[in-house]
Amino acid sequence: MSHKLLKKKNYLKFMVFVILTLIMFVQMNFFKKIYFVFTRDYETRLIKSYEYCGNESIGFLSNVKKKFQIDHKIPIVNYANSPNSSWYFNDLKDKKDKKIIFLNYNPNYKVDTKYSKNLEDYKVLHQHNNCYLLDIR
Amino acid sequence: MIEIFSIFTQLFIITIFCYVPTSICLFLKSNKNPDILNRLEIGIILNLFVLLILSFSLRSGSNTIYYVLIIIFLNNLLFLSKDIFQKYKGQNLRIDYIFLFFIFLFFVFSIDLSNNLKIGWDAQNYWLVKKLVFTNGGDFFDLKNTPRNDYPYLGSFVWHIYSKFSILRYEYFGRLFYLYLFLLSIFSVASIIKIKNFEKVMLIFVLIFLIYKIDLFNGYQEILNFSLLILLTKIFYEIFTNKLSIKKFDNKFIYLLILINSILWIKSEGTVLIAIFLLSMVLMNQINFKIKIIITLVFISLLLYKYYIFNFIGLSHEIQKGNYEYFKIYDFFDFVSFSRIILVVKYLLFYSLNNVIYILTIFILMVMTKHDKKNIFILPFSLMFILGLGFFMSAFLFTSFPLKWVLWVSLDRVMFETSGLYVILVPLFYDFLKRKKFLDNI
Repeated sequence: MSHKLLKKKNYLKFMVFVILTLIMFVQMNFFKKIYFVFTRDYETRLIKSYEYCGNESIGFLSNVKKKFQIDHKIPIVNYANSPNSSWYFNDLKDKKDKKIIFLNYNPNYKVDTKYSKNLEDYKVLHQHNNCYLLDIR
Repeated sequence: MIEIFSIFTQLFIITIFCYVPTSICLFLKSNKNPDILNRLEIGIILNLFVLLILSFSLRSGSNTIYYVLIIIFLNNLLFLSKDIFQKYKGQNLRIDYIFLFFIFLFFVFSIDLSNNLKIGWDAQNYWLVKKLVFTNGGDFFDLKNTPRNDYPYLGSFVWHIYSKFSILRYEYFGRLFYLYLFLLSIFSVASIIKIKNFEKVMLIFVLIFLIYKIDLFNGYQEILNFSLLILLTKIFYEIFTNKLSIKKFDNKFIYLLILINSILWIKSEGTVLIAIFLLSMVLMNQINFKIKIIITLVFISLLLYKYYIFNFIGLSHEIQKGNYEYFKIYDFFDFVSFSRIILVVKYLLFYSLNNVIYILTIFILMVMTKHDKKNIFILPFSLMFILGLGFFMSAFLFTSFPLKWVLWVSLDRVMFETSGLYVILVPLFYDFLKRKKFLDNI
């Protein structure tokens, strides 16, 4: 009898544990997230965590890096009130060329930069909404 | 699949780095028979201390400290293998279900983190920049060229070390250490009272549901100090429940001081939080006067040493540079006006609803004051809570920045960090309910 009671008690404890774990899983979308770890690589998940062209615009930077096979750091001027995303290019070489990136470009917005804010001073290599990869003329 | 494997490998790497042999547990905590979590709890503090010391000797382009870390890793691995072999030989090798639960939670939260890779605003602007200084082969002299060079750097250094010592070398593998420390502090605090494994698991679930949010691990340093403050209150509890410890300078105090040192090197406000903790401790009658003097002197020495190092590196040693720039004593009443006090109180109430620990702390302290008058922990924790509120008031009232903006962007984080001092009240309250047999009717 006592053995049966002990078994029943342990079963109850186990059920409580399972229910709490399931609540936790549902709350954090665990199954979806583990599926994404299998199906999406790190880079894709990183891009999805940020906006494509807005604030840090990591999606745009990633696209530019791939499309133009960028292997060196390019100066980034972010016109939005947002952290500077130059850390994204951290693993690239330090090499000077004439390329520059404008993120969330807005000519009326004041940013502290040595680069001209006039788009006519540049050749547009790539554009997505207000994000630009430019070449200094 | 490789990423899942790397997460488990990272868990293994951190565990080995934080593993300590029985002799160290015996020396620092008089624990003759430590379980794996006891060892890791001591080891993680020693690991932070070792990393801080190694960061002083790191020089640009040199790999010496990484070789030292590899030696430490191999040494710890040897100790672990020896302990496992001895237990196996003595037929003492048993599965630790609580540690299995720890591994399980670490894995679940790692998956959560691997899908929320966005780094917070200040973390991108300051903490990540400091981490990248080390990643790019720089040393602590290069930190003077980073923004907010008045901020300490231990958290960023740890972030760098653990992303370097990982298979895939992704940035977030460094932040897995933050998660590890957080979980370890929760598991440690849940084991201060003697309860069955199932009760412990339930208590951990409660604490996790109350505290865990993925945003805590977005590179901000508050989670580190929060977790270390939990461990600090735990050692405080252990010292006071062992009457011998408060009579003479026990080795537990050495552990306490190493822990305090780490907190000072993670965030500037750590100094104030330690001062709040020590003041509450020093005001207790039970503790020997000599010990109070020693602890206070060592704390001041640690602060002076930090000041010296900052000066040596060329870092700014102002507390919160720019934040109190315009405060002058003759303008006192411009800063401490009725409307400003009301605004701070309003935000305090608002963010208390966001951080359940505060509501629980008030409730627990009120109930225990009424029904458990002889409990010696009510007074120091009440004092810590009041001093904590005083800290929020003064830190924000005297700011030179627009008050509403500062409150909006930083009060919740400071409140969260400080709440690490009160988490221990949850297991203590559970113990109180058990002692008073409140739970028997349920």
